[in-house]
Amino acid sequence: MRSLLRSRLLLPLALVGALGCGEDEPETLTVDLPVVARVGGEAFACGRTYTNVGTTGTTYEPMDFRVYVHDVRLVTRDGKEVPVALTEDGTWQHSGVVLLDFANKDGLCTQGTEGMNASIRGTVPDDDYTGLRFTLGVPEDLNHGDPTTLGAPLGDMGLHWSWQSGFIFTRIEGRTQGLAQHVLHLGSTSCAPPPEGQTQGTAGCANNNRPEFHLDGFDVTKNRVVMDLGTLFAGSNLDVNAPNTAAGCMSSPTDADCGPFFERMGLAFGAQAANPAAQTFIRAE
Amino acid sequence: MARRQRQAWKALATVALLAAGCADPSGPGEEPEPPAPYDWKLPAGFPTPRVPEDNPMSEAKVQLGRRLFYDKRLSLNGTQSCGSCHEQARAFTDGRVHAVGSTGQAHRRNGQGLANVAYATSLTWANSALTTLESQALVPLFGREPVELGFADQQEVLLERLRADTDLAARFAEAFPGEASPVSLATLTRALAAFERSLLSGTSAYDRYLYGKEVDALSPAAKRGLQLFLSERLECDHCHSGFNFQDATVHAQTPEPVLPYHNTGLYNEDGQGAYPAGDTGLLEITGRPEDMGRFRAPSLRNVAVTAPYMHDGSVATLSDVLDHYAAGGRARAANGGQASPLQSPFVRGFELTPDEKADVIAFLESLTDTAFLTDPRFADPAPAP
Repeated sequence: MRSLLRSRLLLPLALVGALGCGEDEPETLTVDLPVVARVGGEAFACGRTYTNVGTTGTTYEPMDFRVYVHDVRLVTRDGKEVPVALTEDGTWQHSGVVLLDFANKDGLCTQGTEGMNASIRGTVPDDDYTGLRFTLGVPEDLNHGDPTTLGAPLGDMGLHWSWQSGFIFTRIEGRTQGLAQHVLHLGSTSCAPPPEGQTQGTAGCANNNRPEFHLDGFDVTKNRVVMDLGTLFAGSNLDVNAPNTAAGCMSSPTDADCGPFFERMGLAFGAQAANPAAQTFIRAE
Repeated sequence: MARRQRQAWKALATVALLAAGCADPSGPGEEPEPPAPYDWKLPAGFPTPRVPEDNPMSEAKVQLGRRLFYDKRLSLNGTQSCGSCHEQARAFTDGRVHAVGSTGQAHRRNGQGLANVAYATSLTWANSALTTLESQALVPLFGREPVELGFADQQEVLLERLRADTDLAARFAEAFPGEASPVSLATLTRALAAFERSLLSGTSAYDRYLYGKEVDALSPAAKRGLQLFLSERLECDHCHSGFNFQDATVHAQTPEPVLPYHNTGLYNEDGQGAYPAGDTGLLEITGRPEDMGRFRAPSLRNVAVTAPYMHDGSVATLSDVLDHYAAGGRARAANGGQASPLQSPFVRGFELTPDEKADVIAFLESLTDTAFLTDPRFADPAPAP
């Protein structure tokens, strides 16, 4: 059953409908887009040890790997973006946001949940789609809301920066030869106080840090999304940490460890301009 | 007001339904009674605090919050409660240079007092994004840098622990009527915030003098000290202003709350105003270079019992605090007498005779509210063993 769902989407619901009634209704496709985590050529899994990671070729033992995405769109052959209506499941998908969770409780992955989620599920009008686009992170209108009332998957305080009043868009943690804990937390920074008349939220963040990914030529019947820590870490030394900064990168604009990660996410960092074409973290396969 | 109107509408609708011969599906009496208005017991001269719309005050909520505030189950290892770092006798500070969390990890900052925290526009030393006590409560509960109460990645452990106590769960249900799941992160933080808002301190000698018209409540020295405090020479009240001696103050009638932060020249590591790399102030949150070394001015209520002082606890006594400001910022001496380019223009230095200094300290001591420090309403409600 799992493999059937995974293997392919596209159950043209309206086909069933067409047999009976409602011939004028647009056909709806159910999509189930697999997202897989890798470290270079190997599948990501808690409990494993990866070698030759980063600029020092260190070992990497995962401790967590979770990613929020939203604004999922398919692109038609003639270039039109069509939003995917995400299925509300009360656990992983809510209000247009998906939490992808590649960590169970094996090995050093002691935080977070047993449960994992490795696909994006929803519906689109039937069409000829040749591309996939989505944005990493939690959208602005939800990011600064009250995490105690937003509901799953936006209620996990392990994915929330209480002090920054926003969510951690990616939580990627592991142990290397040089660091007992290497942390990569991406989220919005340099956020203004709440707007006038409000007690919560922000009037805006200077660094939204929501990279957008365009996977051209994505075949919804065959391809899957690959999130690769090997390529994400390729320009970083995971064995040392810049003095007086978080152990790894917690998105601080003054943390030199963040530069290479941000570049590989296609994000601006300091004097380094945003360059979506330079992102190497996410690809289709 | 809106609630009353809705209730009235509902009552009318019920009558209409009954008149038409239909049963009200929800049944009469299922609508929870609106909670009794909360009695703030406001000190004379104090405005009504501003309260978030989604967390109205009630006595049941305040009492629940008080229990939770002193409950050591609110730390993962059961060693600390909120009250461990916020002791009533010290105006809810801890007497330490740096606060220490439940696992023994030291905080980089000095624990802050909670007297009149209901009126603060921003919370913690340097975070313009944290403006409600509800959201602030998440920081000690779940924070990892540093660990305070230690529930990072363990929120279900926390909630299950509280739910397992049937008496406590019943108090949650009483304080939050109509909640499908009375014990939740939302109700926990709301109850804690409601209790913190109840911590009003306004019966010090200064208050009895100013609002109680007791002319002898302040000593002659304290009266002279008050005049110095307000003087252009010392400039104290620019940042420690208003009834709460804090410029970052808001109440129910405030049209537009302000979020001021100040660099007082404690550090200037590079001649350009840099603070130590481990704690650079508001800059960390806003990313703006001009926010280097900026911190919130705390209220001076009960300041005589909240030593040590400053965001990092680096100043031991009130006398040392006055020396710091008299010097126009402690760091000036290390920079050839030059002020940091980032420090507040109000920290420009002044001369104070020993007698004047004693007068200012006498005034600051007149802000100690002994009734607040011993009020049983704010104490640990747990019965003695």
